[in-house]
Amino acid sequence: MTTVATTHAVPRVRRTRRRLPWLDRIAYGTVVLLLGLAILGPLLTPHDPYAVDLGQALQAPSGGHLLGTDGLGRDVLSRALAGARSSILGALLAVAGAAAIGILVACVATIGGRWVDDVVMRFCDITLSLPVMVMALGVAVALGPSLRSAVIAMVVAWWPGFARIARAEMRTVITSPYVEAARVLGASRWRVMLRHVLPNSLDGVYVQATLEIGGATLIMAGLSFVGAGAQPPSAEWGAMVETGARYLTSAWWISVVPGLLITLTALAFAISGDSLRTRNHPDAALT
Amino acid sequence: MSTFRTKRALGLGLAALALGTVTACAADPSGPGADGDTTLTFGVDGTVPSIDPVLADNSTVDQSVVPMYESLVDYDPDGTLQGRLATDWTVAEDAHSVTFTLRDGAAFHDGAPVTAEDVKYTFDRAKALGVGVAQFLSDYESAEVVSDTEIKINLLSPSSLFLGGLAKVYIVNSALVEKNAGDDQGQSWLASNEAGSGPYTLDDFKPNRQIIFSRYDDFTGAVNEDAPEKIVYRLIPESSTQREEMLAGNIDVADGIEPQDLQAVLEQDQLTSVELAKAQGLYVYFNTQRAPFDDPKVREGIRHAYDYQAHVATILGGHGSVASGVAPAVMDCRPEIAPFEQDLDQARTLLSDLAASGKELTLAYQSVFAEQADAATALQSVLRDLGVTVKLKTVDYPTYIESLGAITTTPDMAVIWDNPPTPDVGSLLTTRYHSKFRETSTNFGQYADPEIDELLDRANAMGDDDARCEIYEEVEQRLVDDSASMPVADEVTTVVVPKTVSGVELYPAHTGYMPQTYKIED
Repeated sequence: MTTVATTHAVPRVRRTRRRLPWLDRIAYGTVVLLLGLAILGPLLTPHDPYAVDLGQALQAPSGGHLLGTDGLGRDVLSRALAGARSSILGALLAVAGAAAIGILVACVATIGGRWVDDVVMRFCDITLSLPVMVMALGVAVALGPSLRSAVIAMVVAWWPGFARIARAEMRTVITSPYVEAARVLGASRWRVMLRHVLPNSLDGVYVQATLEIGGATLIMAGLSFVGAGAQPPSAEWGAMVETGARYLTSAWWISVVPGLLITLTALAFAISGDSLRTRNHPDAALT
Repeated sequence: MSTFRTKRALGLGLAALALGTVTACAADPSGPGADGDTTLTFGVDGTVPSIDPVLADNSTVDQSVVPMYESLVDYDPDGTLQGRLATDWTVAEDAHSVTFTLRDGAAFHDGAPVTAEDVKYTFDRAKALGVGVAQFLSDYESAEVVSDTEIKINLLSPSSLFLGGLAKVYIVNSALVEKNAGDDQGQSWLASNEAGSGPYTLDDFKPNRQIIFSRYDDFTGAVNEDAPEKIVYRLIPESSTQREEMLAGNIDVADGIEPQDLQAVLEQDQLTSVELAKAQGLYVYFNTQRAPFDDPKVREGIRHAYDYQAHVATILGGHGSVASGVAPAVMDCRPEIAPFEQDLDQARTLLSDLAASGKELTLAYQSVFAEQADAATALQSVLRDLGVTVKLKTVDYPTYIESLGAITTTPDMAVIWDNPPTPDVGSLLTTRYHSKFRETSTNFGQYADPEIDELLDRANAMGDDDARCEIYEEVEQRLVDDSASMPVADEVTTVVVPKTVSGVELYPAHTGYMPQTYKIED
């Protein structure tokens, strides 16, 4: 085996460089599919996802209800589709918000001088030392449980990670010759920051954001599961898992369908993010 | 491709899957009675932040203090009023006072005898605090200590409800409470300590988590020889958690397991169930003092919208019956009213103005209780079909009770379990619908009708039970005609116990457990 691999090593490497591994391609495809679902899902529901029909409660998957019905007779497939929007877009929004705040803080830390940098980054370290879930839970409950609170809570708990990554890159970029040149030409601190440093420091943030969307979906579902996120009758996936939990032994489909969707989303985004990272930093793939 | 990141991604995925797959634990068949172990562990659904007996109007608090304290009188399972601390009582000719004789030798857990002074202190304290069981003392004027074991209670006006209400007024050790009174009449001390004379003492209390009681060997009341030596309450609001704890052998007794979870539990050989037709039901209360529910037509419209039969069949899994009046079906003095039924056409007509107004209504419910969450969601769905927008709002019980303190903070609608304060229907009608209880946390709908007030006052002052009954029936009929509230279903409580335990009976004044009456066989 080893000898065969060695003899074919050169062409193999070339091929992988040109073509993505199959796992990455599946992950990218799934991400596109999920984003499509988030946008179009609520329009594709075969039944009204919020219509209670007690006479139809706990129906197993069948022709009429492809994925069965829940304890109140609502169509699980329709609810899963309707829930894609709040579950996925909620996570996207949380990550986007956290990244935006993180970048802003990183800018301030980078150009604000050593003292500002120290204060801001130590604050980030303190926040990072708290578990994300616990912190998000606290904030969401304090704001009053709702989907919006959950998104805000995640932004609050998540931005320091982005701030740290963005700042690390900015500190490297700011010492580059072209930044020196701009400074020597008399550009102001903010101009240097916005025109030269910022645009060249965002690769890491993009990759990190993609990676974190998977985790964000999970935290989002977790918050809803414990009652701090989306409220009934919302079809958010975490909330669906929760309402189905008490029927797990008799009607598994109510929890398992949204549970699998959460798994799929978390996996697809995490693998895509990892793939992006590997392509941006090919040396990382060697380890 | 097998980088660290991918492994992390897989980990995330597996964690997500775990969200949807809560696995059942293996059953541990060792129950109580084995090896001379007489500890009985109860699963309690609800929250107990305080064990001050003045709050015993709340059934969860009541079942937490009932092993440690004694009241003067209480109802037996057959519905007769019996003496507990009192051995005897006489009502004066003019019905303006009652004289109680206390049991000889009755003593608190610190050895101090129970005296008339303690009774007076307890009554005055509750009245002064004006919370909880103070509702049963609304006719109490003053107490005269005749001797150490004799006390005369003077009433503001004759009331046939007074004696029954005393079943939940637990007598506290006045010297002990006074010593720890602080500046809040001992409320903060009694919240986590006991000062009772009941058959059990307090071992440990962790608010909202656990209470442990030990048998008090010097108890001088009626002793149950086969009672457990230790009683443990574990507070577990969710039905599915109670089920898992039961299957794992971590709790012995549970009364909060909902129909969909019961089957798995009753498949266990060592367990059996006792069905108790408690006077408890699910209600929707309206804020009758604010638009749109100040209009009886709108209230009637909502009542016609709900599918009661499907509620009993699906949400209760058949463990209950459709409501047929404002009082639960097991109570006396009820007029003939047919079980409520859905009538969507009528609902649509009655609610057309409300639908056109586009007003968003708030419906409060306790999310930890599946029946309430399901009912709230079902009501919201059917009202949406009728064009009425309802916003669901989760509350916990203390917050809800607090919101009743003012008409402005009372939610438009609330789904809640309700049970009568005493087995006498008059107590239910008076505390829930008499205008004098508005903004005091017992008149859930803030209901006010001078004619109802007058009828209730008249009936409550009567000594003749038949005549009283007749007026109560009229009141109940009027309340239904006016849609004062929306009774949904009467419940049957299923208590799951080990087969070695007997004595699980319904004490009508207590909706929760009466653990000191449980008998463990060897």
